[in-house]
Amino acid sequence: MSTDRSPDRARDYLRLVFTQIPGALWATDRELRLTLVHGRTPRLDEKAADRLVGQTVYEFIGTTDPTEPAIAHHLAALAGTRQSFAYDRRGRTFEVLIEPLLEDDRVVGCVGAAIDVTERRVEQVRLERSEARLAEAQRVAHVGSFEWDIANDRVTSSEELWRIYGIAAGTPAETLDVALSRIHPEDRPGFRQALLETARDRRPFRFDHRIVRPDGEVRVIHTVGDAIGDRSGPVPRVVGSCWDVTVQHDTTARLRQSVAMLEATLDATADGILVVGSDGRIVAHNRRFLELWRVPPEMINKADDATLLSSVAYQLEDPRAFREGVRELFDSPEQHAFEILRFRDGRVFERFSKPQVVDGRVAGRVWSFRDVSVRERLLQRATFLADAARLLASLDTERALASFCGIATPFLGEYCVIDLLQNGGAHRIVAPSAGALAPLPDAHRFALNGHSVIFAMGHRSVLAVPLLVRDAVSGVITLVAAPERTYSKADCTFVEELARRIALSLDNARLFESAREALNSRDEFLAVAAHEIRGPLTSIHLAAQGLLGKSLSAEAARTALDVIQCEDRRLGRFVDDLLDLGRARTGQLYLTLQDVDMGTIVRDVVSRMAADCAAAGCAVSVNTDGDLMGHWDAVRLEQVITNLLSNAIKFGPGKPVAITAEAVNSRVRVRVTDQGIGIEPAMLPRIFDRFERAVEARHYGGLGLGLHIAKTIVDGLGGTLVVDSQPGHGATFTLELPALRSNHEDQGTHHGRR
Amino acid sequence: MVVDDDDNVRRMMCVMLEAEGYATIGARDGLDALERMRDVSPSLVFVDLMMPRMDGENLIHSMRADAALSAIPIAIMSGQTHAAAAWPAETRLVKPVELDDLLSVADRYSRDLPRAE
Repeated sequence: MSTDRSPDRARDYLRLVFTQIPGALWATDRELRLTLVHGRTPRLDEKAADRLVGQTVYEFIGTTDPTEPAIAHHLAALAGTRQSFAYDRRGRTFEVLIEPLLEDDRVVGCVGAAIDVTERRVEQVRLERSEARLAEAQRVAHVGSFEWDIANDRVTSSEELWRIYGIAAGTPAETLDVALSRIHPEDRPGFRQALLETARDRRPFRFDHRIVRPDGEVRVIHTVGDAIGDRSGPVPRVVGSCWDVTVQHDTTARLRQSVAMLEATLDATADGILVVGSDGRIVAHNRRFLELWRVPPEMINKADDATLLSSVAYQLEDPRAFREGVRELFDSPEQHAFEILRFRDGRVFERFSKPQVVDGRVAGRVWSFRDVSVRERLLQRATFLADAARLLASLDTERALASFCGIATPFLGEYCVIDLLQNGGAHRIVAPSAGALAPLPDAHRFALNGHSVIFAMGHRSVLAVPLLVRDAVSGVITLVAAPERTYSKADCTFVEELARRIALSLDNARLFESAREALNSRDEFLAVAAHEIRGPLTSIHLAAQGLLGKSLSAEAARTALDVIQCEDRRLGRFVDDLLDLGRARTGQLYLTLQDVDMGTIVRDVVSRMAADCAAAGCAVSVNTDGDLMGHWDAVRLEQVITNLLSNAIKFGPGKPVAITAEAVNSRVRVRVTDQGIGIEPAMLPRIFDRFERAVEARHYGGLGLGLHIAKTIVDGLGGTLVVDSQPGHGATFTLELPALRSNHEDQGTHHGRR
Repeated sequence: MVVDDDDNVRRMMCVMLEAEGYATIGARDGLDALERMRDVSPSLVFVDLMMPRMDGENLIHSMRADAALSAIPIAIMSGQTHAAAAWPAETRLVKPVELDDLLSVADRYSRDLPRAE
């Protein structure tokens, strides 16, 4: 620009400047008449400005009202005070400055300047409104926001963010470190890292973190943010929005936890659970379900219910009925059902089936399975034991055991065999009797030796348990399992318990049998005793009545007296026998020991019984050899020999009887051999028992006490008495006694050993 | 005939019957009795029940089965009253036998028979 300093040029230049001022300049006199107007506004150009000179401000505004703002400010300026204000006129906004015009400290008018700020004001209002709206929106949504000016390290936070932080709004901008101090210490490094990575990589971030409010409360905040700025150059700002997700977080956490707990509970439960949707899909299951049904885990994820059903049903005893039952239940969605499922391997499940109701509607079906095999087995066993006990209570052992074998199959096995060992032989009871597996196993030698044993026979499992009666093996129970079954220790224990009961039953039956035999023996003894007494009684009775009532011949009278005397002795001996029996039973058989010659005793007895032997038609031969002296009871030995000889002529009438006595190795042996009817082998061990006789009492009288008493005496003397016989070939009784001599002090009375 | 394995009983009965004038035969058991009945046909048989070799019951059955012996009257002598009651015999005597009963039975079955005076 040239610098022409002439006055005209200067005035023109000033005018140029004034006319181009983006606003208006004016001056008034004291009456507010415009003396100068310059400016350029959308409504004011140079011409209009010239026309305004000479008008009053009142005229320009269009009112004389002194309270109108423009007029009031002009008047105030005239009063000497500088006025600065905004003024709206005809849709435009002006910032106005009016000052008093001073001349020699006297107010001669006023000077005003106005700048059109309409555009700026509109922008400002819009900004204010949008910020207010943002704040409102944030407040309503509880979403806060922040902006990190990286270059200046300034973080500004929105009002709502302060509210989220629990801090009174209006905290000024702060450094990142200060801003991060509100984050929970554990989450702080992660949050800083997220911001830095976003700045570095220009990548949005999303971060859940906790904050600690001034009152110590911890809230969970979800923040999403991004980098703002050009693609090139360093990122100037990172902005983020944050909202409080504590409630959601808690709810989600609780939900997740309760789902986890539900799953854990399902898995921990002893029942197998399967949930199937109405569409047949498997909705849920637990581990126990897989275990119970032996379903591979990889299969359950792939299969639908129908596939699953067809792949597990074969395990059941009746797969078809099972499948049909399941189908029926799926056809009636509302139905509740309970059923017992029996497996081929012996397991038993309880199955509960109920509709799964979600929000009042049937969404599917819940199946739960409980393995009650143990309970069922115990129940079955208890029932079986009770049945078995009832059967075994019978004293008819044979039938009881047959019935027992019957109920033992198929419960305990497909076949049940009981081998009874009795009287040296074996007797076998088998169930089921028809269609038996051939060959059934023999009683296992372990079991015969008293031990339980499980073994295999082909593909069959076999269990053998001894029947122990009073610690002796009296039989073996052998069970053959059905093809799928294998015996376990529990089976073995159970069968051992059964074996105990069977053994007890056998023992009871035997005790009962022996008790009955004892009773029979006693009854027989009493009958024989009555007969033995009745004989002499009859003779004496007849003799006495004859002697008293009839005039008998001398010979007849003598006979009668003889008979009375004879029978008197016989009754005396009988009473002695009974007394000896009593003493022998109670161990009070007294022995009077002295040196005795066996030869003498034998000969004395034979000579005394000569009449009886002759009457029986028995020729008795006596052979003695060697030194037959011993320290014995002579009277008792006579009794022994008498009993043996009586026995011989009783059972071998008309046949010769041979008696030998000899010394053998410091013992004296006496043999009495008859040629009578002999003795059945089965009777041999019992022939010396009380009341025992090898033949029916009806044919052979006598108490059956003779041999018993003889044996008792011989035992008492420290000797032995044995018998050797075969039916039809007579019998030999062999008596052996120790041939010890007394040394004189030893004489006296001794207790028998029994 | 008196059939009893007890020597004294048999002996005493025979003595008492003979004292009344009867002829008697003793037998020690059933077999002995049957053997002796081949030679002599008795007009009355007293039978004891409990005897060796052949007891009274078998003897009675054998006699009843034998046409030659079936008509001979039998008197059973026994202590076992109930058992004896079931057997086919004309008379039962309970041991110990009363002498009067014995003689009246003998008398009843032998009126027509000659007595050894």
